[in-house]
Amino acid sequence: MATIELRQVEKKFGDLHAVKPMDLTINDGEFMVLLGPSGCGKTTTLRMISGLEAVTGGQILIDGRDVTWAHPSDRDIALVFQFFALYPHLSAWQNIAFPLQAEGESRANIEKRVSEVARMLGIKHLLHLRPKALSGGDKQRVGLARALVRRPAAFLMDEPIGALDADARETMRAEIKQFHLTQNATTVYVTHDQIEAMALGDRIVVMSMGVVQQVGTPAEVYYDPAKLFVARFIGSPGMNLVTGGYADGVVHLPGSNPYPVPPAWNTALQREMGSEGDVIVGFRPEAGRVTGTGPLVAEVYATELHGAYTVLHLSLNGTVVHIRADRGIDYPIGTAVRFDLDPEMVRFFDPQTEAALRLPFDGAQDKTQDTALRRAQDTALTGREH
Amino acid sequence: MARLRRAQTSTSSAESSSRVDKIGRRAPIVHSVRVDKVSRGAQILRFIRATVVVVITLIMLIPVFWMVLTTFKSHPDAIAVPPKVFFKPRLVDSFVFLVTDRFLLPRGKLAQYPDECKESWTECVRNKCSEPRSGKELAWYECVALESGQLVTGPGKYGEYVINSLIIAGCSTAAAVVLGLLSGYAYSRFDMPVKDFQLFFILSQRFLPAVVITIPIFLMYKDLHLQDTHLGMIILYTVVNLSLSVWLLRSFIDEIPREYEEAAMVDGYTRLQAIRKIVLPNALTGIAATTVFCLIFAWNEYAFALMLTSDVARTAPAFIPTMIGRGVVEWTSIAAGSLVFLIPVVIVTFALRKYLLRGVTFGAIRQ
Repeated sequence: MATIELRQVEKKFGDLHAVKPMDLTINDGEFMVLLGPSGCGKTTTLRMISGLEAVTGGQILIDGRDVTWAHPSDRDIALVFQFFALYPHLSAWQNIAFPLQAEGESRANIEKRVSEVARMLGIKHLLHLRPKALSGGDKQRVGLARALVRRPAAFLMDEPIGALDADARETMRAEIKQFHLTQNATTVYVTHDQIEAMALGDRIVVMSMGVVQQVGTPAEVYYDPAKLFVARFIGSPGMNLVTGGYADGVVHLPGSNPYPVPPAWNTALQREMGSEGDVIVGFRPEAGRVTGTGPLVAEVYATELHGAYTVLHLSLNGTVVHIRADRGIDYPIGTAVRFDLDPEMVRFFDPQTEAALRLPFDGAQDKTQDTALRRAQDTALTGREH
Repeated sequence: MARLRRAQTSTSSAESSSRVDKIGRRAPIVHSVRVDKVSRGAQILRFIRATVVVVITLIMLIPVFWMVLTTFKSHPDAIAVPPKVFFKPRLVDSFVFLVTDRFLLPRGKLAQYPDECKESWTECVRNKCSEPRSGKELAWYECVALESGQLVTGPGKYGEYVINSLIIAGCSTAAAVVLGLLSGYAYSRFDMPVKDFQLFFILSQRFLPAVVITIPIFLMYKDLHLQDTHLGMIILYTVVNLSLSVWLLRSFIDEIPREYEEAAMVDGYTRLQAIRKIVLPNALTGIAATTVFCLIFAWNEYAFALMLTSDVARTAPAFIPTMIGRGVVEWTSIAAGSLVFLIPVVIVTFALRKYLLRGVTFGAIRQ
């Protein structure tokens, strides 16, 4: 297993920067997710690590060895493709054996390792079939088997479940998680689906327009987005972002709604912007609480029952925010409601730099939250404690 | 890429409706869901279409049919006016005449042969007739010639020229397909300066008709001593065919997703190995179609062959018409020569037909 290190790696297509110079260290055994909308450079980054795309500048090191200009076959990595890329003229068995044949393994050894991997992924009964005869999920299982059979130093996965239909995707997501936990292999995983990223990643790299916006654990990027882009992109719906004028411990939100800043934040805001100025208040839908005594007043724009909960669309004089409320709650459209924000979950952003403002003691309490969340996720996905 | 995505989403959605269970594993097919009912209108349309196809095919086959008839006619039947459709077939005469040089025996000489030798060639063989002067026994083909009052003087050139045709067409087709495959791959996969212009330039080699460029090529070949050589003709046909094969094979390789080779390269193979193990098997359709097109051109080519070859490297298409100019026009042996000449292309096309059906529609390798 291996550490992957990117040093000032960049990629230009003509004058266009597909990936601006980025630094990234992926630790041994880590599951790193590259997340971002299409065209953000995540796949290009993955392809540069694999060696299928040449870098324009910078260095790539795998386990301390400089592989920047090494051929893909010399990097000891395996790649899983979005559209499987199974060789159509070979059977599943031949597909899985293909990388071993490149290494000149003996026939007996190939037999042994292919059946070992096939048993692990539950595709033993499909080995004689051509890819055309396989379902989407099975195709990707064969793709995973082909990657796994070589026991590479690292796995690279390019939206491996993006081409599957919804049901198969959920199953495969858990299988990939299980696969990672048993193999404990360094994995770089590209996706545009933030739920997938949250569910799978040890850490997430959020990218936009070829620039790394934030590198952090799923909890970090969810609760403490570093940039407005991250706040909007992670979560569905994303973080509510409302611009207001800050003055003397109060942010004046649209619709003449003075919001008293939690005391902990007050010093941070004063330090950043002096006594007054514009600031963006951000809060997750679940941070809002509808209470009779809340400081903020808004008009109900729409209510949506999502089954387990209701999403209230509230209009602050035209600026719509989403609040997650109890599933029993239902208001007629146009009703004025009062609500409050959980002071623990309110975040502030600088409208100019689009960067988040930070508390001085930032991070200490999130660590515990993080570990608890990870454990809960792992248990939920794999269905067992470990 | 987009094509691949479309193809795969369509198959996966079709599968999900019938054959795939909730967790993506295959469920057994319990009963057929095919519907074999065809509407009356569609049936009539299908009938009309089949009729039209049959009629067109028959029209196209009339010259070949007439050629076959002429091959098996005797000389008087072949030139009879009005043409004869029913006649007494002569099975071997035209073929014997095709591969031999003969001259017409003067009446005096012919009279020296006993009658039972001249009646029919089978009788001649059975009676072990011999040449009156030397007493040498006549071979069966000499008997055939004798029946028409002719004496065989030696082997004809036809066989030699057909072998020339085989060598030149075979080698130039192989060269055009191999070179076309490699450059087609390069044009499909790599960025290069002024790629579109390069491709246009390659295609433009075909803009001028052969007769226009024959004279300059003739002069060049004279200086290079390539005139009337096999090598010269192989080079010429390869160059003419390359424009077609590069374009055809590039479009076929375009249809093969890059991911296949990328997967192979990540799996530990070099690019050349990936081409051999992955691209080649998947481009078989295109290779077959290109081979047939190139072969047909090189096999049938007439203008270059007529101008640039005289004897050593003369090909059959350039030879057959010259048979008209030698005394009596032997239509039956010309027909036989053309018929034999058709056979290799028919065999190759027939052998590759399963690829061609998909190949000529450029359907390539959709998964």
